[in-house]
Amino acid sequence: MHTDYLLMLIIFLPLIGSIFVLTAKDNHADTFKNAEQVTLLTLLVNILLIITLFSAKPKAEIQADMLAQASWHFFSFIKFSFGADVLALIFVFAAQTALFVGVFGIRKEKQNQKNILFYSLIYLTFLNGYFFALDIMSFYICFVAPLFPLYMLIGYALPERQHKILMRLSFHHFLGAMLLLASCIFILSLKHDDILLSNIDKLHLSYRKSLLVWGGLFLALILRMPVWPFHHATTSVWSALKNPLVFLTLHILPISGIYGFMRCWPLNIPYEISVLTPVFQALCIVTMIFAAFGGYAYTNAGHKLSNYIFVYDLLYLLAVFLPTDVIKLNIAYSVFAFLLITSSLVILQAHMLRESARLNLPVKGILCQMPRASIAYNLFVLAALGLPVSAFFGNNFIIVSEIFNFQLYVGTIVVVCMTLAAISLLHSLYVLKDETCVFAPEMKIKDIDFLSFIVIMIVMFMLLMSLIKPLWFVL
Amino acid sequence: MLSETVFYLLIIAFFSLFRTKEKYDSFLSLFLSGFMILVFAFFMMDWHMLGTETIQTFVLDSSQSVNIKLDITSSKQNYIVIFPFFLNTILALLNNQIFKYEKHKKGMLSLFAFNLISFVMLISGNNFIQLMTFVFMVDILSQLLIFDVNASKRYSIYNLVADMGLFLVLAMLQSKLVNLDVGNISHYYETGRHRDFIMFVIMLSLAIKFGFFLFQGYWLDLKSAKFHALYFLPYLSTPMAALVLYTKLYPLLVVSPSFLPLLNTIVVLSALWGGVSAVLNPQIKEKFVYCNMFCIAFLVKLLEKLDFVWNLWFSNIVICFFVFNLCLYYLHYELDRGHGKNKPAILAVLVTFLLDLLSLTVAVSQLADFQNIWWISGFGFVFLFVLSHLFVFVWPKLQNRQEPNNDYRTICVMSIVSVLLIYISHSSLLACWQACFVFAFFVALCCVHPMKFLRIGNSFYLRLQNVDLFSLAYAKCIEAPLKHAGLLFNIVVDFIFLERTLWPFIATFNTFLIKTYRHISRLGILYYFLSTLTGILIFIFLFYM
Repeated sequence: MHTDYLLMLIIFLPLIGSIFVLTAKDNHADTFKNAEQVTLLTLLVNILLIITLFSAKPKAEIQADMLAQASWHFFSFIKFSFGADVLALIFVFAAQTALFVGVFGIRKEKQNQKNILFYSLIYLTFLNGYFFALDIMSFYICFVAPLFPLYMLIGYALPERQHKILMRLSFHHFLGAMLLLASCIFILSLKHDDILLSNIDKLHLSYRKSLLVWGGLFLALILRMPVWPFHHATTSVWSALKNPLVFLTLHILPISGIYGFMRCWPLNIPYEISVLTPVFQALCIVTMIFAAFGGYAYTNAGHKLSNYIFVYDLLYLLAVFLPTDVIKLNIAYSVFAFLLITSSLVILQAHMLRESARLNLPVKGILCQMPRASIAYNLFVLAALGLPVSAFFGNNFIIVSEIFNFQLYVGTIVVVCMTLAAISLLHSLYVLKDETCVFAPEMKIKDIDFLSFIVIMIVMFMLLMSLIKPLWFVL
Repeated sequence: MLSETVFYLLIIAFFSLFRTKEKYDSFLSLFLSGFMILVFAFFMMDWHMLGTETIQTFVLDSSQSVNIKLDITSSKQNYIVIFPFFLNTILALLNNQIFKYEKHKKGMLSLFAFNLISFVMLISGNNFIQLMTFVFMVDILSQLLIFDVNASKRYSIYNLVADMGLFLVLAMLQSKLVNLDVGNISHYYETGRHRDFIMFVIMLSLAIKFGFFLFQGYWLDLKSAKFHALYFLPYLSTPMAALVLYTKLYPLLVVSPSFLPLLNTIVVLSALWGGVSAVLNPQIKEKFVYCNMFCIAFLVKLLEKLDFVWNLWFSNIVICFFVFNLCLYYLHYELDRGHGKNKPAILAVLVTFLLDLLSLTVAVSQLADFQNIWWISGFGFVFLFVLSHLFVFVWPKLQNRQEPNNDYRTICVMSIVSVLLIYISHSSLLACWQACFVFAFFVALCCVHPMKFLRIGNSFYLRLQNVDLFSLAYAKCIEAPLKHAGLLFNIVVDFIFLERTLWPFIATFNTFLIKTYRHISRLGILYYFLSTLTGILIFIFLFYM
């Protein structure tokens, strides 16, 4: 099988889809429908292509080998190298599926839907490139490039008076991009050639150079994560966003930071950086405690979900910094389940908020009037709590046990924070299902539409199957 | 073999999930219940014909870090432990068939079948992930069985905390042990430490799951749910899953010197609080909860005295306690809900009640030995006090009912239960001389009713109950501090430090730099020198960096 073409197709198919979305007529009544269908088709085809790529080699070999590799020469001196191993494919698969689910969340939105779909596909193209990047040049370009469509998306979705928080977010990202650029230029100046990400740790660097390269890389990636004191930039935008698809695109960004660490961060951290590890761990733990308690400071389900996401992002961040290689796949499986769970919860919450705003009702008890949404929300909350409904459960167990292996107290605090976040989410479920709130029968509260329900149930099925075998879909 | 039993139960559970027209619901559920009884018969045959131990393993995920597998171990011991849960499930199904409490009988049947499968997998499992998975499954199914949002709220939150406690402990073990097998637990202390911490977390989780003293609040919430959810939950859900875990994780408990004092304290407090509250509380549902709290405390202590070996007599005790629940439920049904016109039915319940007491006496007397006789006698006395009080509580209501009623369903269920009770303890029923003493003592207690003096302080107790100290403590000690801590973090760190201090500082500094740059880039010789000097300074700084 010519897997190289398949790889390039997976990267660029969203870009092709975006052109079709852009050419949809603006003055036509069916514009939104066309744009939505093109986006869904593009994402669905991409998901199928990823599954095909997964099946390119026998099951026994897919964990060890690169499944596909492709290089692309731009002029004579710039070469972009992309490769797909099982780790990258899981992240790409998770991102496509999350956005596929997210599109169902904006079906009822009429404002800027076409533009949001267009920029989402562009964003996904660069994100796919980022996940598949093998060399430092393509990694840097695909690290920076998704930010522009992302800002456009956030700009469309944010209320006008809150654009200041977008500036703050972009400042963080710009700073990160500059630091990574400095590191990359420095590495390239040392090597005089493009270098693979897996080979960065093989460079012999002096103390200062090492500090510059690894410090720059570290800060560039960490600025994408909601780690104290940079957390406020991301979480304030999360809280302000009402559009589920845009929320999901921003939610994938910290995940890409985690992936960056998995790809670039060496197993044996240079001494200059490793002395700072306890400080960094302390920062992560402090942020995690903030996030876990933050869920109790708000009453609405959206904030509680944001804080929950925040806690788990930090769990993965702590996990990627462990000096072990064996749990990388467990992190990937867990992230896969995490993205699917959160994307489904986000679109269900968006539907509830929309209905509540339409009828001017409180969200308390609204799930009692939505049987389909209630079933789906219940199941996804159970999965989000870490109960054995998805791959999230077993893999989180492995991740936490590995944290315990190195740091007992850190592990204990992590479990306590996970428990607090889970209780906060469970509490929000009970508020939404409060039977004491009676709505008048003439208020016709709409349940989620049948198609969205089916899609969400298919996602639930995927999660359930992933509990039994994470790569169950590999032929 | 157990794997076949699981397979048949899965078929029943999935068939019960299919939606059919309401008129076929009863018929299909009757058919599937019949099939389940047949599976039970096969289970009993397998048990008696079983030779050597066999293990069937299904590897789910094999990766560098872990092998996740499902084990189904068919051994005599596992059959003994599964037996009471299977029988209790059959009795609960029988109840579900004969009475129309549940609208969707098939749905209930499906939940019972899945619940039983979870218990079988929990008991026959040999690795941590399997243990945790099925403990969590039992919790999820319990919430579905409760089928009431308000009643299940605290139930799910408490159990989530307990589950996360177990998650923490098992993750700690996994970090130090080579593989995830339960048999490896005893090796933990060769490499791992923190034995007191581990014991404390496990005991806390188990105490929450058992609904012991201080954690009984979520069981009391169940009074707003249907009564039939209340009778089977104590012996078919989380407390029993916790009891199974208790037998599997005991090597981690006994190594801590604090284990026995902690266990004794919590068991005695739970038994006392349960016993006294069962006597004093005027509501039958709350009596029910407290009575079960007492019984479970007894089971936990008895298991410790038996060196954590779950034997057949212990299984019989579990069944007897379940039948007590069933009897109390029927008494409630016949008396308190306006149907109490059926005197023969109530008498049948009382006969079964006494027969159950006899079976319990037989089972307990078989387990009593020199080491545990004081504990058993103590618990036995308190239990008889509680029972006699319940009996006296019910009896006057029975006297007032005069109208005849030809509903034979209760008699039918009670007859079946009586036959089962005679079957499980027939071998030593007549030879048990202790039973005569127990009966004589019970009758004497019913006649004298020594606990009636407690009614003098009843008003105080009721006031105490109305205050709901546990909810108050939960709200004031856990919920409020969490909320305030969250708000405090938010205001102090996010708002005051970041929003009002750090970011304005960066913005001001940025403005200062821009203004300075603008100043030094103006036309003029002095500005030219200043800008050149700045550039040189930056260059020197970077050079030495």
